[in-house]
Amino acid sequence: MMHTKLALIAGMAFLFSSCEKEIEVELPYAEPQIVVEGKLEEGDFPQVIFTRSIAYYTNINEETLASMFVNNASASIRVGNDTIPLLKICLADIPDSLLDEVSQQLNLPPGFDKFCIYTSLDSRLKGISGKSYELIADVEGKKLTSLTTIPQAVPLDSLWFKGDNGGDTLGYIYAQLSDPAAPGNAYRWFAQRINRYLSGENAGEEKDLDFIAPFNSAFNDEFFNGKTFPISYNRGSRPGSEKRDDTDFERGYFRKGDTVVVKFTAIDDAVYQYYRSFYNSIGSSGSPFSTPANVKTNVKGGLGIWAGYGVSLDTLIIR
Amino acid sequence: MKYRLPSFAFLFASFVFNFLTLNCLAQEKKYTISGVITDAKNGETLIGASVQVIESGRGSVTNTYGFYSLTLPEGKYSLKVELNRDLRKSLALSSRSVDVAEVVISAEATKNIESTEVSNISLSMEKIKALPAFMGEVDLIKTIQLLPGVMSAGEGNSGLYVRGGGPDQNLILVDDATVYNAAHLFGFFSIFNADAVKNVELIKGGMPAQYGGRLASVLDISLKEGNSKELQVDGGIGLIASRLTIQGPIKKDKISFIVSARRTYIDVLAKPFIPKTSNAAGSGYYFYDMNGKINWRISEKDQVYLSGYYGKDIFTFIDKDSFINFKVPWGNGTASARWNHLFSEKLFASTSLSFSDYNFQFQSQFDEFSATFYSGVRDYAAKVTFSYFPSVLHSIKFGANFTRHRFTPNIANAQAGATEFSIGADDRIFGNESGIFISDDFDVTDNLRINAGLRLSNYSQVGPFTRYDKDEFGKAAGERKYGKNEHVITYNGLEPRFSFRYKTGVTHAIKGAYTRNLQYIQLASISPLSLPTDIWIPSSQLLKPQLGNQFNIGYFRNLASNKYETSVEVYYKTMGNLIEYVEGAQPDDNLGDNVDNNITTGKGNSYGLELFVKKMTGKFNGWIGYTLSKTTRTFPAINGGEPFAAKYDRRHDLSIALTYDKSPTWSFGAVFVYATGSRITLPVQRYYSFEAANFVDIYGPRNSFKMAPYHRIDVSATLRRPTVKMVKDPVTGEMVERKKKVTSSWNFSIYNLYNRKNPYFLYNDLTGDLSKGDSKVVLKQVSLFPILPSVTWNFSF
Repeated sequence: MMHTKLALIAGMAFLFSSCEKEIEVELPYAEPQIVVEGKLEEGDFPQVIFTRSIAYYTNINEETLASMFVNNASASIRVGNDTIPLLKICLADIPDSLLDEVSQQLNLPPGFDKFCIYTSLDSRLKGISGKSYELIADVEGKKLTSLTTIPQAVPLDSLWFKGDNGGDTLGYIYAQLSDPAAPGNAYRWFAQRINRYLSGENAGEEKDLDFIAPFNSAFNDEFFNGKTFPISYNRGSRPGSEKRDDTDFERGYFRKGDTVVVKFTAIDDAVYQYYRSFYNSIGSSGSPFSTPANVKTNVKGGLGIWAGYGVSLDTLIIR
Repeated sequence: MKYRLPSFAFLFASFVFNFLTLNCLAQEKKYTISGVITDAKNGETLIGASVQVIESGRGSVTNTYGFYSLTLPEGKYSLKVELNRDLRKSLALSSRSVDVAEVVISAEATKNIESTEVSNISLSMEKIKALPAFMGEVDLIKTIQLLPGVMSAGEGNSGLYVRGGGPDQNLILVDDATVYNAAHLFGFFSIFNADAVKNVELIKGGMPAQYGGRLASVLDISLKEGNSKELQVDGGIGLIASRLTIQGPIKKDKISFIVSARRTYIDVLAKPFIPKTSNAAGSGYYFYDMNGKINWRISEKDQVYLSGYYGKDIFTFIDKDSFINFKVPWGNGTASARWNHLFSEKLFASTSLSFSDYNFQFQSQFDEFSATFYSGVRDYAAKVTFSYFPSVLHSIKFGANFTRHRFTPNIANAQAGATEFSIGADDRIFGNESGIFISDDFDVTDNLRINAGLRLSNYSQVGPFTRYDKDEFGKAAGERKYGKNEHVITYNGLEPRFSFRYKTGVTHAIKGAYTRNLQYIQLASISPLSLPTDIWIPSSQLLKPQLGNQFNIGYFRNLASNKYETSVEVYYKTMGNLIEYVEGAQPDDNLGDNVDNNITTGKGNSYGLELFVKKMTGKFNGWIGYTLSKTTRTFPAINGGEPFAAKYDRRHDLSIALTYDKSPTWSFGAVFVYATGSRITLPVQRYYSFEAANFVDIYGPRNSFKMAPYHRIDVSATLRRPTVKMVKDPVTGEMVERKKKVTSSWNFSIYNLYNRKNPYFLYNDLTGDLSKGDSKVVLKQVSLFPILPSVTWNFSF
């Protein structure tokens, strides 16, 4: 059913040789908003990034990129009765030797040196399942708050690989999930190939440097509450990746010989709603077939997401 | 007995008074003349002909079945019959026992001045066919869109937007059966086959009490009854579609039939160009539709017909690369049976039973995941209408109707391997809609005529039904189950209808109306474009019926001996309990949930000024319509509660439709439309998401942006082949004229003559490379149809 729109778009394109031209419009001025992208995984420390929105048709270059990054926020996280301030770590502070790896991890285009991340190594901020964490921030006089909970992780029953199109070299990862009896579970899927490329220009490198969430990686138990059933995901690519297996026929496939760690996470409803609308917005950006809708948020006073993840890990070696 | 025949009488057609009889009511010394007016050439009844008493100026208008009735005190009268259409053809009368009457037949149309009908336009198919046709397919809905008060919605949209109303606020009736989706192919063609249609009437204001259930308008389409005199075959072969109609008597003058069918063949034409090895091999699109009707004039008092329509669109998409297959069939079927009975000269009754079914399916397969998704609506309806004509001063209508609805808002069956997903397999909704009505159209004084009516309508939802309750945060908060036929919720209301005509002179009048309408079913559309994915849903525990109030007043004046009809009308309309999906809703949100849980309600209003000039006689005729209007919506949960322009809010809308009959061989048509651009929502800001490594859009206020204006010219030329040929008489050896068995014509149309690139939609296109820190977005406008010539060959024998 998610494919309805796709089919209709394809249909229109198929039937009519439409013609198009570039046009210009004048948009009304809108006040920039502060956007949060923050997460706290079970057993890990928080990571929060603040950015500013820009006028839609602003051309993107080093200068405009720099103007989007917020490096003057004061942020803290409240857990229970403790309010712990977050520290600012800026790219400019990182030694050059580490910069390349960090840029890759954070999907950073060049010119991102004005960018900062807010975090803390305080043991009270190490994510614990069942706890709620409130993010409190002040950016240029704008007050932002957001509350998230780390739900209890739901481990997968099993993982297997199935070759696609009758073959056994390239395929998808399948898993069996037993959804708990109570309704209201929501999940997000990540995977990382930890084996190395054996040949090609990336030979010797670890295939994925971090966990990657494929498109539409979040789902909830609305249609299968309490059931045991199979799910399957294709391989996500790091946005903008130009690696061979992210650009040719192998894109989206896992390969025989890969060792894949699946991070299957439990998320709360607000996080699920955010990712659902987030993927929808990205997937339908510019499409005339969907009613334009802004991405949902759990941030009061701003936009974006502050997400807690209950984590369960599983490894599959594809033989 | 004397007839005054108009001077333009010629040869071929003739109009007949059927069973024109007299009835004596001794004590009142009044007499009733009633009858059915038919076209003598093919036996089709004539709708909307006015029968007028010249002495008093009063009269009657034939109803949808061609029936009229006049009751007059004893005396000598002259009757004038006016047909609101072009009468270049011959007229002849055959009649019996009309010695009291002098009958004049004229083509002068003063119906618009005489009647209480306001904001009401009737079009004959002859007029519609004379205009240029898109891809050679004559389209009734597209012609309706050329009338004032009806927005030309642009390409790819066959919806009618009447006086600020949505496409679901029009009651579209085909021979009494409701049609839910009047469009083929995402709205590029309407479902009505022009060869099968007899008459079209659009009521956009002053809706009479016998109609109900919609706020904006009634589009009443009468199909032909079939030629009761002789067998007739008509057809057309066009670039993308062909059609064929066969009609004729089963028993002459008693039983007639008509069947017509149409199919597009874009798929067949495209096939050779798609190689079998292509990824998309097997993809395609076509639609077909069929009409059939049997009409039986049992006696002078009884007439029965059976009428049916079935049409389907089938779209298949195959992409071998991604192993995705889709099949999307959707379509309508309707069937109706009607019995007209004349109880007396003064009391006419029409009873109909009808069935209507609309469904949309989406079948998809991807690897071992398969899903079928379907939605639709099915109706069983009954309606009885009595027309009572107690005297020439009154025309009373009363009756009742009942409809059993079955809605399928969204049902999906999905499978992943062997696991079946439970996604609302039995969430159908059942409802009973009914109404009773009475109205009287009567003369108060010589100049003032009033039509006053009242309608009482009712809607009840009955089980089986499951209500999924939600808490204030939209989270599931329990279920309530209702058993079969168990009462769920009932709404009812009174709908007063009032219109008047005040004659300010022989050729001019002021007319006005107030109507209140309730609407119990509605279309929930998730996309800004009109697509078959839109879902019909009824009023429910969460959705109160839509309520509309409309005031309109106008000045009507005929000029140059009734050659020109002109009118100026203003209207103001309020609409309550309108629906929209909540912001960000997805089509699959409806699965396993009540659709209305994803709907939010609000109100709207619309006001406007409409100018209309029409010339329907002579070689050169057509009309000009202009509308100035404003339509807004206010939904507490959308756009932060601020009022926003409806997406079809058009400040200016101008249509010009002209036809010119140069000679018996050549005729020409032209259409010009201009409309303020459609409204859309555009992003005003964006932000960089590290997770997506891309930008996320932030949209501005709802519908705050206007696309470029829509305008275009279409032209057409029709070349009729001579209908006679010269042959040598075998006896005398002289050359004589002989009627050809087969007559044919060529229609050449050019759509969008000056190749205007009208906006269909806009999208933002990212250029440059973000990973190199250099990118920009440009806004692009997509247009559908460039200049498109087409040719169709039409034949008849």
